Order: sequence, then C-alpha cells, then structure tokens
Amino acid sequence: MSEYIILSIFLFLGAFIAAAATVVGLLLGYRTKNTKNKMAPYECGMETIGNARIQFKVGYYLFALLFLVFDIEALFLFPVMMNFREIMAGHTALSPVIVIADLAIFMAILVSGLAYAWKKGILKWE
Amino acid sequence: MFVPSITNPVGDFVREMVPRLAEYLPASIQSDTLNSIVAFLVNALICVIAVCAVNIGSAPILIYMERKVCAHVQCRLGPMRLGWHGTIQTIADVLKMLFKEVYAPSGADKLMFYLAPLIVLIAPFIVCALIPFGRDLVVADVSMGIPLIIAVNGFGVLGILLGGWSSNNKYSLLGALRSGAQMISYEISFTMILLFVVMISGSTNLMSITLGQEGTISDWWIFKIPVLGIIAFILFFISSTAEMNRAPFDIAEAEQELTGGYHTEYNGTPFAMFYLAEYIALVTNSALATTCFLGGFLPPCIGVAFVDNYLNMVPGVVWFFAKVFFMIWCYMMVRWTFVRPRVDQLMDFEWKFLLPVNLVLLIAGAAYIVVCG
Amino acid sequence: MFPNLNLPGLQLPDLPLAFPMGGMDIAFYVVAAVMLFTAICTVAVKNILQSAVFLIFSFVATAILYLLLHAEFIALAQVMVYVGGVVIFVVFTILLTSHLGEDAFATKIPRVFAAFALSIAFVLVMVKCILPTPELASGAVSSPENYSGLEPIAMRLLGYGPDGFIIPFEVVSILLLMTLICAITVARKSKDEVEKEKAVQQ
Repeated sequence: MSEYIILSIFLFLGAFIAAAATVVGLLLGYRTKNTKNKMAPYECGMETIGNARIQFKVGYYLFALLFLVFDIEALFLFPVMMNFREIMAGHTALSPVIVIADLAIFMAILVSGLAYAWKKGILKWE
Repeated sequence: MFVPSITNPVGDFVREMVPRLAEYLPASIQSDTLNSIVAFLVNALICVIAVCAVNIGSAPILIYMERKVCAHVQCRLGPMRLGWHGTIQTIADVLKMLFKEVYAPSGADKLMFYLAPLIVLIAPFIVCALIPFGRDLVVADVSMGIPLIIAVNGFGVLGILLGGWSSNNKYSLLGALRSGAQMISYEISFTMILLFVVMISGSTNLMSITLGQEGTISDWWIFKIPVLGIIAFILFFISSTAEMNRAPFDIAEAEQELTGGYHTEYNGTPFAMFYLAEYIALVTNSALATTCFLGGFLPPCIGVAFVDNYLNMVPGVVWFFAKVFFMIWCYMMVRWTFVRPRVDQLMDFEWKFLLPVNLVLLIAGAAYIVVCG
Repeated sequence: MFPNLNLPGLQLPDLPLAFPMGGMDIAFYVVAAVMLFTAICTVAVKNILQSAVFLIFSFVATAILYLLLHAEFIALAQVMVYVGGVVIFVVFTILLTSHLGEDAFATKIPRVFAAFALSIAFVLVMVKCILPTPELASGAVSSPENYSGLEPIAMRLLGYGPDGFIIPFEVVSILLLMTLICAITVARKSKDEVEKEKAVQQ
C-alpha cells in the first residue's frame, strides 16, 4: 500500500512543478502592453480567417476507436500473458490446450476486426 | 499495515535516526507510530527530491547533448562560446526562459491553456517513480508496473490535445490532433511489445523483470530469446520514438509545415514544461528499454569470472545510467539520420506494418514458450 | 509472489490517528469529496471540452477509491481504459463537432429540476440496493491478501470451472469487434458519396 501512497504523491508532483514554474514565469517574466497584434494567434503574419476551432474529419474518430478497442484488449491480455509461462508449464489448475484455444479465439476475433477495418479502407489516411 | 518502500541504505539510515532524534522531544508525545510515520515522510521527501533532481537535472544535460550530437552529425561544432565547449549555454537558456513573458493569446481558453502543461508533466514523473535505478533504488515497487506505465501515458496525449485546442490557433489544433492520433496509434504497438516482455519474463513488476535477467549478457531479454528478442527491441525502439513525438516521427511539430505544432502559442515557462516533458519522456523511455531488454542495473557480465568480478564492483546505478545514455544516444542518432515521413505514410506504417508484425511476434513468442518452455 | 523482494522495511501498525476514524477513512472521504466535486463540475461547466477535463479528474479520483479498497487491477483498468482511452476518444469526438467554445448549452430551468429529481431518485435506488450488503454493515475488508493481483485474475478469467469467466472473456472480444464494425459502418462514406466526390474532383 505504501507504494501507492508514494505514487499518489508523485501524481501531484509533476502537476505541482508545472504550476510552480508557470507562477514563477508569471512573476519574473518581462511584461509588455497587451496590444492587439501581440495577442493575435500566430499564423505567420496572416490574419486568422474564421474560428480557429475548425471541424475535423472523421478519420481521427475512427483511429481513436481502434485505439480504444486494442487498449481494452491489451488490458485483458496482461494478466493472461503474465501467467502464460506458468500455465504452459502445467503449474496451474488450467489445461494448457484449452488456454491456447481460448486465446487463439480471442485474438482471432480481434484480428478479424482489424482485417475488416483494413478491407473497408479505414486504415488509409486521406 | 504498510511498509515504507524505501529499502536502500539511506532509507534505513533515516529510519534509524528518527527515533534517536525523537528522544530529545518531551516524553508525552513520543511514540513508535509517530516515529515511523515521520521516517516514512522523510523518506518520501528524499524520493521526491531525488526524482526531481534526475528529471529536472537531466533536461539541460540532454539539451546540451542533443545540440552536440546534432552538430557533430552535421560536421559542425555546436555551442562553443559560453563556458568550456559551451557547457553553460543550456543554463543560460533556462534562465532566459524564466524571464520570458507568459501570456495566453486572445481567444484562448485560459483555464485549459495553463492546465495543459500540468497534465503533460504528470506521466513522466509517475513513470520515473516506477523505474528501478538500482538493486534497492526504486521509489514505488508496484506489482503492476508495466500496465501502469501504459495507463499513465494517456495523460501525455490528453495534455497535448488540450494544449493545442485551447490555444485558439489552427496550426496548434492541427498539430495537436495529428500528434494525438500518432501517439495513440503507436501506443498500441508500444503496449504489444511490453506485452511480449511481460509474457517472456512472466511478471509485470519492473524489478522482477530486471532480476529475471541476472547472469551473463546472454541472459538479457534481448538475447535470451533468439532473434525474437532483437526484433522486439527494434520494434520497441521504433514505437517509442513515435510515442515521444521525436524525429523522424515528429510530424506534430514539423516546423516547416506547422510552425511548431501544439505548443506554437506557448511561451516562457509553460513552453519549457512541454519541452521538459519531452526530455523526461526520453529518459523514461530509454530507462524502460534498458529495464526490459538490456538488463537494467545489472552489469554486462560475460561469463569469465576474472572480468565479471571487476564488472560487479561497479555500482548498479552507474551501469543503469550508462545504458540509459547509450539508448538516448541511439535515439539522437536516429533523429539526425532519418528523414521525416508524411502523415499518411506514418499511419500506414503503424496500422499496416507495425501492428501486424507485433501480433505475429506475440504469437511467435507464445509458440517459443510452448515449445522451449 | 516475488520471493526476491523481501523488503527489510519497518513495519507500521494500523494508522491509529486519534480520531474516531482511521487514516483510511479520512483518505476515503477526501477522495470521495474530490470525486463528487469534479463530477458536478463535469455536468455544470458550459464548455464540453472543459467538462472532459473535469471528467479526467473524476476518473482518477475513482481509481484512487478502488486502490483504497485494495482493488489494484480495477484501479489500473480505470486509469488505462477511462483516462487513457475513453477520455481521449471523447476529446477526439468533441473536436469533430463544430462551434465549440460558444455557449451552445443554455439549459432551461424546468430541465434542471427534472434532472435533479431523476438523479435523487437514482441515488435512493442505489442506496436501497447497497445497504443490505453484509460486508457493508460489518465494515470488514473481506478480500484476502493478493486477491486482486494479476495472477488470481488470470486464473479466474481463463477458468472454465464453475467460478471461471471464460465465456465473458470471449464475449468481450466479440463486443469489441461489434463496436468496431458499428463505428466503421456509421463513419464510413457510402459509395454514392465517394462517387460524388470523385465526380467533383474531375
């Protein structure tokens, strides 16, 4: 448990250092008058046309979803993979053959998802 | 109920000293519980200071190193004027950064603009706390070290996305989205390689992964599994380079196209925080590669007792940092050697080459374990 | 689990702080308060991307709550899937929408009341369901040592006995596949659109 107590200290440490640095920068930093040109978004000297928060194409959404699917898959595979050697050596109550068949089905279903996405041309970046 | 995890001689020294010092206090407030809590807090403080020293101290060194490596690759000398061979140059740069003006551009979402560097810096510090620097030098020896590293990597992506969106700049937003898409894509192969390491080492704890490589140099995971280890190491190298947004996979910051990517609008210390996070990520990724493949803090013994005795005399921390700096040097050489691919080539490379290869590697590793035990 | 790691640390007794509550209880209430506050901010903030940020903090606080219950793996899953996956996904999805950052969400008063009534009713139902649990009354930590470690989880996940979860484990992969196919079907351009675009380009 103490590991996690220290880790939760570290959870705030990075944020704290960044906050402290920002405050130091605000205090020490050289100040100039906030003119319109200074505050304008940097676009190589051009005036910004319209809203900067433009709409993005759907490709990013699909990649985020693919990532989510594989992230969850990895999460499930971690405990299994960690004990894979033990199971194969027969040190556990589980039968190696059933576990292998099980994992093969699991992987095959996910790989077929990837193959489907590939076939539908989702993986192609336009 | 809980055990202070600082197990090195310094931690023991603190635990020994606190009760002795406590004897000078009035007897009414003395208690063993108080002593151990105080010792725990002092040890935690030492950990915090040590990790801060490693993280913040490494950034100027790495910036100097990067400029020198870059210069020598291109047959230049690099910084030479300030101090011996320009050694004070980076310190001067840091000072300059402190005195720059910090402001958000008009139309920026102020709260998120200043929050983004905070979120970006969370992950590197947690990862640094998980890495075993020596036989008894690890801040938090968590049993689920590797999944935790993958989990906190998400903070980096979030920070970059928020920073890019809040800046109210099209270049920033485009850079952030590209960067986010790239990072999440390569994070999958990063995860798959770490899954491979977890599978062959049979543990998710970074300390036991390191100790599993004890013995000679051929017991390191890179060499222990013939061929597959080296392939896994190369794939790890590629995907971690892309994870860190380093060149040649730095389309997010592509200066020629996007004027700097997600941190275009940042200046002064918040900008420095993005930079710091990038360099700490370089250290932590190299440390992860060292731990998972190159034997961590173990010396490169060759099996000859005479040589090994001398190698074992060097402390583990020295070996660890020697390997880490070797890895960092590799990352830098790659950065200045290869050209940047286009964004579509990059995504194709990940989804149509790296991920299938990773899956095949995982299956091959499983087959190796089944056949050879 | 790790025989090499006999940590020669100093054993601390239970944190007997001089309160009616122990240290863990205080930690629980602090984290729960943070979680509730950020959760309220998530729904109350006008800008959806800001509410996504508060959602992160809420998820992290939930993960810490799981840790306090010694459910390490669940805490890890919370951070890995929700913070590292779902929130990023949500942010990408939000960036798909246009006109962000403008006050698009002016909620009308009656709606607020309806929402309050619904959520209070939900809380009551939850309390009614949770209170009869025997462990809750005794307050004892029922899970044995290393109950939520990766090893027992793997054994249960792959187990085909009466306490095994092998079927759910396989169903998870089918569920993920379904998600993927649905998203592709929704987001993909139909053939007509592709042909139209080609015609425009020519």
